[in-house]
Amino acid sequence: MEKISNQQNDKLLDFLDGKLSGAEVAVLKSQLEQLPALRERLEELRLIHDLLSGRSLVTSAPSPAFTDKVMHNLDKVPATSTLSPRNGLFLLIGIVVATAVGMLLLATGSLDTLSGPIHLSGLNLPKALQNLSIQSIPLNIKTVMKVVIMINLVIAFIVLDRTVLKPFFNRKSTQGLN
Amino acid sequence: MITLQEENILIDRILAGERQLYAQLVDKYKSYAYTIAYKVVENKPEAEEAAQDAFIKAFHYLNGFNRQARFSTWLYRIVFNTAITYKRKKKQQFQDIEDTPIEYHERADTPTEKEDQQVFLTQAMNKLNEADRLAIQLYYMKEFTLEEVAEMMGQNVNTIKVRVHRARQRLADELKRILKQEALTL
Repeated sequence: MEKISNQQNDKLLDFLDGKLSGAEVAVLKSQLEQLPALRERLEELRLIHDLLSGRSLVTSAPSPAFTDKVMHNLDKVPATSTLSPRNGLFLLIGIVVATAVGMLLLATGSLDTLSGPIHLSGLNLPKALQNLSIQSIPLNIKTVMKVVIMINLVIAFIVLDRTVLKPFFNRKSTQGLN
Repeated sequence: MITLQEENILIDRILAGERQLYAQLVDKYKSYAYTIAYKVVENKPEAEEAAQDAFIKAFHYLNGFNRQARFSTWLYRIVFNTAITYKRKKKQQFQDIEDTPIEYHERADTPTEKEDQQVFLTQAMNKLNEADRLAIQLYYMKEFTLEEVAEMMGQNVNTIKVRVHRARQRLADELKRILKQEALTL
């Protein structure tokens, strides 16, 4: 049996959806008369189309108290966070561990030896940059680490607020209303 | 039945402080909102909860509703996204053995040919991937055009059109296979 191409399938589906013009329908009808495989495929797709159309007639109904429940909870603040409390807690632990490691490195003085200027003359720079008057860039790893720790702490507070504190107090206030 | 113009006036009044009027919008769209949520989460209590949450979200974000789009499309997008979030949460929590695929018909004692075909169609639908299944279900709800289904699912119209076409082809192939198998077992 001749294989039906994707293009022919699309035409048949457009026909079933009523999206073909008069001229296109005439062309398709003549093809259907000549090709039994195409006729058979049309019947297979028509069965699917009819079954799916029939299904849509059975619509689901929500409970009779649906509107009342919505109106009653209208003041409930919708959750804006996509993080679950569990994932938020994991993220928070990760941030705290990273911050603790950073603070430990600072306290033990491990970063002291890493600070100092970066000499541009020792680097293989493009010609355009070699002509610059700047010979070195001062780099203080300790300061960089302090900034990273500060950013980490701010993120930790935001995560704590969004995923743990806010949902907790929202739940409390909802329980209080009920 | 509220017309689109009346609906816009209603939204203006709700935004002006007459929040009790929001009940009219909930009444008008609750069935379809619930049906969309149901098709996504495939569980009645969760569909109800997701649809209610979506209405509450829509109320809070009503100020940001762009009047160029239809309210229904905007709302159903919120319902769709809320239901997807519910489904993800549920997947993380547990697999409930009572959560069966959507039942469309109550079976009679002796199923008719049409009912049998619906059962086979459900089997075939379960073979589709989630996105294709949702696209096809929303498309056949008749309430929505391809453009609206695309807007709701946050995808390109052509992508949705291809999804709906290819999904129907796969369903036809699968149904043919099932019917052949059934004929052999008779």
